Amino acid sequence: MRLLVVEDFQPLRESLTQGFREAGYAVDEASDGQTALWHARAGEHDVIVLDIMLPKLDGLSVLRQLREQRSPSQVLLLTARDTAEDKINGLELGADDYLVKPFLFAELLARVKALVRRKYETKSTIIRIADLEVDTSHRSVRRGGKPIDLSGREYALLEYLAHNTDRVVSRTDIWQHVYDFNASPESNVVDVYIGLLRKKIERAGSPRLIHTRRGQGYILAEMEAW
Amino acid sequence: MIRSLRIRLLIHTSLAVAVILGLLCASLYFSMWKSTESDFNLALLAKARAVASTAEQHGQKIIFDYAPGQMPQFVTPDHPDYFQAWIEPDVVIRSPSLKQNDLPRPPEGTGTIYADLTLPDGRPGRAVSMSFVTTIELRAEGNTSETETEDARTIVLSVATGTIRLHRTLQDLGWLLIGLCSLAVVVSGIVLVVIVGRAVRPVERIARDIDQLRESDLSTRLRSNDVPLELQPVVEKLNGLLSRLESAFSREKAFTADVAHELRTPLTALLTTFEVVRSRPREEADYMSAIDKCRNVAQQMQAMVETLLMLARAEAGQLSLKLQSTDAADLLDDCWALFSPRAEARGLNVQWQAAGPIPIQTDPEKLRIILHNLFDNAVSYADEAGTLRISAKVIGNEFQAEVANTGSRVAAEQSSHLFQRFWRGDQARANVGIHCGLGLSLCERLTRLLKGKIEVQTAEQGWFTVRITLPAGRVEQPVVSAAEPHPHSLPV
Repeated sequence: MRLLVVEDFQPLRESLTQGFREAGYAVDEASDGQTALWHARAGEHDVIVLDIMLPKLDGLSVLRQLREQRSPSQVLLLTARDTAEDKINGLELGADDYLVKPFLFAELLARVKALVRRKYETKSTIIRIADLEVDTSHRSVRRGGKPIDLSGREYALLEYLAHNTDRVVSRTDIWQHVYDFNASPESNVVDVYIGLLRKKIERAGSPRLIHTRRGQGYILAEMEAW
Repeated sequence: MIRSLRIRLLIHTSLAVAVILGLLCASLYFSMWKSTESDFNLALLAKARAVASTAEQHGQKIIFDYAPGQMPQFVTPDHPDYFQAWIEPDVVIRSPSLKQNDLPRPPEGTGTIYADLTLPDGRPGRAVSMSFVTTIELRAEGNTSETETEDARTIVLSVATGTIRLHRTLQDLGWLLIGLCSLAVVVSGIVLVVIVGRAVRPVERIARDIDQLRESDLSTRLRSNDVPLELQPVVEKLNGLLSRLESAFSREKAFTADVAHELRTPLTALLTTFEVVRSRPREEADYMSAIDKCRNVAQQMQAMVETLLMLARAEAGQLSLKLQSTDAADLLDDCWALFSPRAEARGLNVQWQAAGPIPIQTDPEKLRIILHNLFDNAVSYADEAGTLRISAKVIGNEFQAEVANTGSRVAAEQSSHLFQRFWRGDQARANVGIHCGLGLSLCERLTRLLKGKIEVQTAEQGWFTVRITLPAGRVEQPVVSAAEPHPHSLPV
């Protein structure tokens, strides 16, 4: 899942970015409103964590423009003001959630996860595909009741596929939503990680769950459906 | 002291009405008493004259020639009138009603005299006495002649009548007037209660309105549309006071919100950093960098809190002025030392126009804080590789210091906001940290404390200048005289 963290106070922005990255998210950062809009236009972020008090362009204006551009991103407003007006203002402009500073990072993380679920219309924190269980709150995976140990990136990839169960996702989608390292999306990094993931969840003759659609991408689904 | 305006008004006006009515009635009574008395006396005198006119002189003899039917009042046994006449020293005649009694004998030749007395039948009465000489003489032949005789005798006549009726009339009149007066006082009292009640009603309404004012809602104003003219200023003053209170309260509220806001962001940074660092085991270097980061944030918060405290103290008037001789050039150098590394790091070109010494009389600690803030702003907000111009001089008896920087994005029309707490030119946020918009308002407050002023100027090419002007104070000029060389002056 890809996040955009927009916060002008550098120490806070750094810690948020680090925290989200360590939680398995791909994170872009911006320190002012204009940069935030530029980032938001360039890539498709699942969740944008947006501070309201920003230089150049304030958070609410950024939000208004995002909504005018029909951005599908979920927006979580960070505000230091806790008056009802501020909250109502933000929500009416199309924010999906808000959090008043100071907050616990754990709470922010939980809300971001909830927003991701909402975006992919997954109500439960546990996604099941056949005998595969992806627990998005504990970031753990089981197949046939046996835990499977995945690396951060492998898990991020699997969670993205799981949120899009029964839908074909392109390599570019995966690239944009899962990875934030400097390599071009045309490289075969995605294929490499799909390979690693397959090895771990389709071990010992269990039925395949990750299927390749030539020229389209990948799909996570039970075979019978296809 | 009666506190109620209504009762006080009532008592005072009622007293005034009662006194006026009382005086009116008294003077009315007095004048009516006068005229009734004089009418009574005139009537009594007329009776006396009528009796006197019947007197005739026959030689040495005086005869009162009247028929009893002509003057029945002197005959009747019921409440009669009386008369008696004397020719010294004998009694000439008594009215039939007198029988053998006497009226008190008046002195002779003193004109008309009225006197109150007790009548022979015991009633109170009044007598008029007069002396006269009869002009009618009856000659022996029986002819009447009007010629005066040489031996005309002076007759003293006294006529008395009862005064019960007079007294009763006057008494009735008195009671009537007292009754009317009291009635008038009571009626006017009732009318006054109504009038005063109506007059006081607006005051009571205002009092009710004031009573309904709540600290939580200062936006309400007292109605002034139907308030009497005399109370209009009161209502206006109160409304003015309310407006000032409201704006002061809302400023306080905004200020508290701003403080909370400005402290919340760094606080969140601290919490998040701690949480993220603790979430998993890390290398020692990671811990160290997190600690450094938190210390920086904490220092920024501390600086902000200090500034806020100073500002609060300045506004509460708790800062005292400690004037002393100071070398302003030295102070500038001293303050700048803290910022020159940052200016160098940002590649700023610094133009220094403050050659020392600049001796002034001021509070160096306050001036240091002002300069610190101005330098901090200038170094932070100047554009990359921009220019800073710092100058200080004494003109007349004023000390003037200017701190200017290029790269300002503050528009001229924003200048008025600069001294407001927490106001920030937009790009200020780019250099976040301690710049939370408090510096200039603190500078403004401190220059005012130093009895000086602070001004900002925005000019072309992004020049932004802050100028402070302070009284230079009475500075002892080194006196050098030929006779006595100044102890500090160096031999040339």
